[in-house]
Amino acid sequence: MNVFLDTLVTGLPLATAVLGIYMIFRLREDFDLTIDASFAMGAAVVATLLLHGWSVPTAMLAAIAAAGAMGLLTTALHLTLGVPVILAGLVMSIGFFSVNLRIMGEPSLNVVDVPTLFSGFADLPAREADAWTALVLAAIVGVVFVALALFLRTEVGLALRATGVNERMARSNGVDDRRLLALSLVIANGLAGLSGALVVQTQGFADVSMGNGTLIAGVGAVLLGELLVRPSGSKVVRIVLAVLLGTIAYRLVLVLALQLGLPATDLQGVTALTLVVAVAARRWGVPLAGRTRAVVRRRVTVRPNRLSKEPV
Amino acid sequence: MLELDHVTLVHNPGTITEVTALRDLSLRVPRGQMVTIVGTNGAGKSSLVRSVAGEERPSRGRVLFDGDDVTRTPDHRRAGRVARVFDDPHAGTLPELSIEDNLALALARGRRRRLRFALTAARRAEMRERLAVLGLGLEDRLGDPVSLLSAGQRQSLTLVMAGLRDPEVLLLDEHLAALDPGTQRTVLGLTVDLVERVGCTAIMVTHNMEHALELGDRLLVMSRGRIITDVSGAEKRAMTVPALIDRITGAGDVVSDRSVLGDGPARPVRVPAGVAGGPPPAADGPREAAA
Repeated sequence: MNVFLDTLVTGLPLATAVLGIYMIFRLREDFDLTIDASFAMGAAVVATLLLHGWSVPTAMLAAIAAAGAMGLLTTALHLTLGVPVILAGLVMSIGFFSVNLRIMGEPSLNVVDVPTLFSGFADLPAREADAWTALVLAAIVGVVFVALALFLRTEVGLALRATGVNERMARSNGVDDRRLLALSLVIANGLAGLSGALVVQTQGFADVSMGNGTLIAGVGAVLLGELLVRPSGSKVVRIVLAVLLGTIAYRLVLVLALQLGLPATDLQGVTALTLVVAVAARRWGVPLAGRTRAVVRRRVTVRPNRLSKEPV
Repeated sequence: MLELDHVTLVHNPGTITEVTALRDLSLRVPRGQMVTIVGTNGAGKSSLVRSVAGEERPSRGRVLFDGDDVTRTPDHRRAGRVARVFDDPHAGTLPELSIEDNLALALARGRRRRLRFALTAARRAEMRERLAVLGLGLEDRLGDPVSLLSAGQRQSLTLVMAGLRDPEVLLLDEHLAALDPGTQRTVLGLTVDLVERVGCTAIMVTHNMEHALELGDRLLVMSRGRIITDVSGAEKRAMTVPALIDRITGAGDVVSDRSVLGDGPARPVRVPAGVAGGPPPAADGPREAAA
């Protein structure tokens, strides 16, 4: 029970960031390293504003907006300078480390003494407080996930999914791929910002380097989720389910590692191992659920099989 | 009326890889006319199609739709007026998305996309109706990803998508090239039906001389970025495959030092008999001619 609650309380806040990562990593087949910095930006903004006496909702909205705006900046770098998204994101994540530090004023901010989403549960016993925290998080994550799933099913959302698959075809059908790239990056980074803002409030402090490794952790979560649920471009419900379950599974691995007595400093290694295992399972493992994806099948049939070489 | 007015298209200008794809090309296609274009690889056929689609912006000259200068209008903003079917069956669809999602994307071509559901019961019904015409059973497979379809099925689907919102101009860039002869017939039939139903202007690039001759109202032969032959009506009907191949191969030898092809619909090049009777260049050779 403890493990389960721990997993939810530490995992659910990450779910929106993983959803953002999915939007770029899978729907666009790209990596946006801005995520690391926009996650920290969300945390920095919400911590700073809460300490300045802002209300929780306005502070969180500001955090999401600031993080989303970073996506716009990444798009601008990508489109005006012609650098790939991954490089533009790298530059952003390095540069905004300093910006986030400026916003916070010091490397770490404590929000235990100011009202947060969860300060109402502070007086409850630890177990009960965790349960309520998980419930509030689940509600927020649920609303965000449903909203995004609905959005992906709209004409704009469909266009967004299309540009990631076949840009040329999308353009020939009247889709402005540059605007949709901007939209994707704004949403993805806004979701990462929300994630950062939630994490600050669950753990009680913001740290300027807390965003480091968010992207790679998110990719790990996505890979795990894809093992459990096999999503595809048109299966929107499966997409959000895969993200949600993947995030929880990924967190569960880390929580179990801690329970086994591994020091927190080993978690990076556990993350890397999880990633390797997830990729290996995709490559060779029997699909855990559902059908083998068409993509996988294609890859297997295309690869020449040396063993089946017939004697002449 | 689709108009290309002294269009020149230069790729990589000023560099060592500079290529002139279209040279001072002018063409006027009245509304509803179907034009077939043949020519060797590198003749500029696809460049012409891309210039009309807006995927390439001419270095000089203008592109006009019904008198509107669209030269500087990007392809996605021309999409309401132009529909395309690509040579590669993979290019015209979204393989990972379902058939219905592909159709829904095409349904919004040229319209402002809004925050309303892309798929509704009414739209699905319309899709089924359109797909049923193909006779491929796709109407019962709306949820299947397009990656499961064969090349012929995909090109048929792309044609349906092109016809969902009636275009002014339909661009077919060797859209039969990847198909086997039987499927070519089927998709060709669909193409003709679509053009007739919509009554749009159509430009069809092909390497198949028979298709070029039997289809459409007008036939253009391109070479080195120019239109070297422009026949229609009785003259087109009288044209034979060998004569057409003569025109194409003859152009390579003869036309380079001529400047017969300035503005306006070019006059046919007169190729002396016997000069160009050899086999066509390998790249455009037996495969297409025999198909």
